[in-house]
Amino acid sequence: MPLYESAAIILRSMRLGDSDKLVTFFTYKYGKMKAVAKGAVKTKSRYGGRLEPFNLVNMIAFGKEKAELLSLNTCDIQQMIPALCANLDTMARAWACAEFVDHLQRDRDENKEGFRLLVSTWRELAREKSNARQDLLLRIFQLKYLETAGLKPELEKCSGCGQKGGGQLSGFSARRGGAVCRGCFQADPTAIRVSPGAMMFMKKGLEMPMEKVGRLAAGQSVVEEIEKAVATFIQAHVRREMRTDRFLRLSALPVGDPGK
Amino acid sequence: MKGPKSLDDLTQTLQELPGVGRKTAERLAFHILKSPVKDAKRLSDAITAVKEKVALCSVCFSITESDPCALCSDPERDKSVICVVEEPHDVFSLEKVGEFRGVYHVLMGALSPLEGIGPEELKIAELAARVKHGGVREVIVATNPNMEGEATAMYISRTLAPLQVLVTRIARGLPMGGDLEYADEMTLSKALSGRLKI
Repeated sequence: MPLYESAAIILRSMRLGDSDKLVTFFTYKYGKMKAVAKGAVKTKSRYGGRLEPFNLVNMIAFGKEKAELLSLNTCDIQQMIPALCANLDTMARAWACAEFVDHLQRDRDENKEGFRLLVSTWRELAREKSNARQDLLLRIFQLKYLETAGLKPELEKCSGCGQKGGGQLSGFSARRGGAVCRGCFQADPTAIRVSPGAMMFMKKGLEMPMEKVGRLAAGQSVVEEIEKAVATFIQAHVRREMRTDRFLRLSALPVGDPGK
Repeated sequence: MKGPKSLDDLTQTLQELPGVGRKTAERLAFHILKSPVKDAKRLSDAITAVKEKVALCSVCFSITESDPCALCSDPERDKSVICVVEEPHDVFSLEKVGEFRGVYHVLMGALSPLEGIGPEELKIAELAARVKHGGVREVIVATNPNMEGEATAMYISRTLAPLQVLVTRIARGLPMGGDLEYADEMTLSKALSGRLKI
């Protein structure tokens, strides 16, 4: 029976039966994999807190060649990012990244670039204190991850007619696949208006490493524009509702609001 | 070979129980078949009674046969301290210890962004209403020590912040009888940050 040994990120961990856990790993070597951790819920389990989301671990699992579920043998923490769990807002964004990868990444489809991107995004989220900058980091992460999956939105030229030119691109059409010129924007009722500034931030964000994205001085309104454009693009191309979106809205509620 | 329909139905029904597979369901069904009628009747009566008589307490949402539950209506319990737990069975686990003299509030789950469980699905607004009603000086959040439990604890603390009530979290760290050598980094880190003066 093959043994799978790799560095991995824990995307999600849920209870399975009485005392087991079903853990979704994003491994460096093999891509996304699911494994059952026997007795992981028990207080004296050898796994303890090792199987919690956002941990970077070294895992060993075994199972048949094409098995959907593996059996977890060992899981040791390589690195924790405790600041991700320091408050509800940061936690919500870290969870949103995990859900995005879980949705986009097919099982056993290696994506080393995506792996590194997720780790660096979480590190930056943990470092960043401002909510607006954390939002920008999340949206740029989503754009970059879409790129690793071959779904990069067109931002250089009009995705409708192919016309080039930064200032001329005044809208964003998820249906056409990215930025659109004034003419194509008017002809497409699903297109949304995106300012040249927001377009530039998206382009720059895609070009620069995650470590530098946090330094982009984007205002709240620009971040909101980017958020809207990315959300429409995800909706059109990923065709799945992100459950964490609701949690992101929740974390934005004022203190004292029970959310009902 | 296909068995009698009633036996198949019983096996099928037992198989729907958590942790019961086909083989176990068959074994249980045959055991019930071989048992005296009065034993089988006692089992079916117990199942019916638990469904008919047990309901949720309208105050704390724990399971009870009388409303409010025995804990909420006990004059000896300290109503100014509320211990918040995820599930009704957590109340039984804490009551077994016999040290807590306050009352409980069952959330009926924990926030889970990936499962789409938000505060609307939990009894968080009801907890806020209980605190608003007055007379509560401390809320102990005893949700599970995992990411969902932590998120729920943070959300509760945020929701109750304007109500001038002390919100505390149960300690997380090493289990009694365990060994430091085998503890994971996360547990050790929580144990160190939650250390107490002796």
